[in-house]
Amino acid sequence: MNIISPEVLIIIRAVLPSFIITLFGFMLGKLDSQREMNQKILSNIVYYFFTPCLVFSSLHKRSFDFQEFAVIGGAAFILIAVMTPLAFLLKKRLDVRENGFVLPIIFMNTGNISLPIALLMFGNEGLAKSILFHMMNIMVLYSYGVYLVSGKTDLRHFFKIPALWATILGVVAATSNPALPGFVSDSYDIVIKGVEVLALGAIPLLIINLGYSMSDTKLSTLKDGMSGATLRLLGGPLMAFGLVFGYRLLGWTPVTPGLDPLVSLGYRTSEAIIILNAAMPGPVMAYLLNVKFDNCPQKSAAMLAVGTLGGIITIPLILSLITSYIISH
Amino acid sequence: MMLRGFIPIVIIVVIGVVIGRWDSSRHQLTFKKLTNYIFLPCLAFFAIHKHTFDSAEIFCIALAVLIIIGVITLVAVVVLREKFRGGSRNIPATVYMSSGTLLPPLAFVLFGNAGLAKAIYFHFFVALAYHTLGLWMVEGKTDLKAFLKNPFIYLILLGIAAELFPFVMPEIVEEFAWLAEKGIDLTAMGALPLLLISFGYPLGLLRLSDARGGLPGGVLRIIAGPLVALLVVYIYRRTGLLSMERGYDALGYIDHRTTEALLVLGAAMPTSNYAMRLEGDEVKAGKAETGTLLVSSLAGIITIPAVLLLILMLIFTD
Repeated sequence: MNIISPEVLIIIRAVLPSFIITLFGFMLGKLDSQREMNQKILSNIVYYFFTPCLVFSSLHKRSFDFQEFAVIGGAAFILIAVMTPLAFLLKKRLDVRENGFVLPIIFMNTGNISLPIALLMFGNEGLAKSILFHMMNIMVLYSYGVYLVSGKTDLRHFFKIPALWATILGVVAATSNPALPGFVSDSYDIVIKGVEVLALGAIPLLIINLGYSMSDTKLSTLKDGMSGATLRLLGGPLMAFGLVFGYRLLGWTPVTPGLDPLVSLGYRTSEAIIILNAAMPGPVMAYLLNVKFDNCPQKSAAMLAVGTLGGIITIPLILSLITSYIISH
Repeated sequence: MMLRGFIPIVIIVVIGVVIGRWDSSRHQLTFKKLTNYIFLPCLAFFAIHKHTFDSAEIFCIALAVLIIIGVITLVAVVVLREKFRGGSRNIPATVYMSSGTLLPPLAFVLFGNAGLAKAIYFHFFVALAYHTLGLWMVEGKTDLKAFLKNPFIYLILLGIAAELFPFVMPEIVEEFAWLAEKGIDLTAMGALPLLLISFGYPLGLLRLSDARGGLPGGVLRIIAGPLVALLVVYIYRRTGLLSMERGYDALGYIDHRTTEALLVLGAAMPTSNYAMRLEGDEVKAGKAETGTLLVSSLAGIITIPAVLLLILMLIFTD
């Protein structure tokens, strides 16, 4: 008899490496009892260099389907938009002053947890669709999310967000294929190589930073993270199911199978991807912004910890609901 | 091809310099802790446990490091007119190269995992030489305790053990070990840009006017290193330590050439930024040491591609 179901195993496989890196950061934090390490410089490096490189390198090689992006990216946008007032309501109820509190509730970890699950459960088709969701989530996180935590309403600040430019450049590079002269093409390849090496630093540095911060977290703070994480893990998929049935009613993802069963399967995969991503805990990137703008990073770290641990239980449940109500339908 | 690997590395180091210049409050300690306690040890394990253990290879690298450092030390004492014992810190600045920050990413980009594993061994012996001979020359005593406190040594040993003894474990433990390895691999890949940035970061503190005092040391570091290494390669070939016989083992032949290339490349690295002896935002090093670091780093932009060309012509081309 298997003690652990295959779905749980997939999730454990997706999250455990990240937990191990978090543990490295946690141990470093425990060793550094004098708190000599400066997290802000690391956050700045990730914000200004590593993350834009990661965003660009994950976008520039992919093919880009605008119609599919409208359905999946639109869903991501709607889910973020609906979750925003709920997160602010919770913030008000808990009497939290900083806006940074809402970031790990509104946004989802559509990168390092969701992508491997999408690949393992729904194959390459699922992965490609999940990347579209991820793109929208990242775009809004680095625009509206930064706006929320920085407290700067000036539109000029919005256009100074490095990852926003990286996203635009990445989409342009993915959709255009100009014939470049040899020298320009060679130089482009060299720059891309540098960008790809820099991108490698983003995820581990982010997670280590998170682990380092958690080494200083009190258990009482973890309790603070409970309500936010619960809203994220339960509210997210509930809204996504509602949205998917809304899509069906509008005929955007028709239920009646046409002549081509692959088209119908594609719609079901899109729906499954929307629900799966909505069930994710808060993203580590949100924590980066909390640290960068000094906007309640401790509460954010607690929410991420509780959410990621809770996800080990809730994500398999959501996956089995997806199998029963979406894929088998 | 080699320039395509080298230029991105320079770009990232320059980004490190820009961050160093832009960051008014110095955070060198942050980089030091991150690289020493997490990133370099993970990179060491990542490289070594995937690389076939070969005691002859380790012996070749250890001996080469000993000869390179020994010869450059003697030359530096004569050229810089320093005492052998109790001399200035410009001697270690001239002799010891940045084998722990610049070399591993460069070796990985140019020669893949085999190059990276050899670079890790190279760094191990350079660090050992520094904590023994290097410190003995300037402080009159060795500091093996500090060397042994470095976690990357133990991760090298763990990597060797994992490669040599593939333990039979229950399925669940094996699964966990595989996932742990994935976490280490992810961190190891993250080490590449971070090591380069941590090399460039303190350079942002240097002024061009410092260069004059470091001209002899810097030139010696960047020129004598690869020359001595080429001599070592020649001796190794003559003595059969790194045989030129192709035989039936084509992979073994390529591996020997990679070892030679790594030795020459490692010896061509600029001065280690440890020479600056940073404490917070204060540079403890004298003008000669900072000058040596600056000259060797700037000159390296030209000499390293030249050395790569030499490697291509003399080592990888029959």
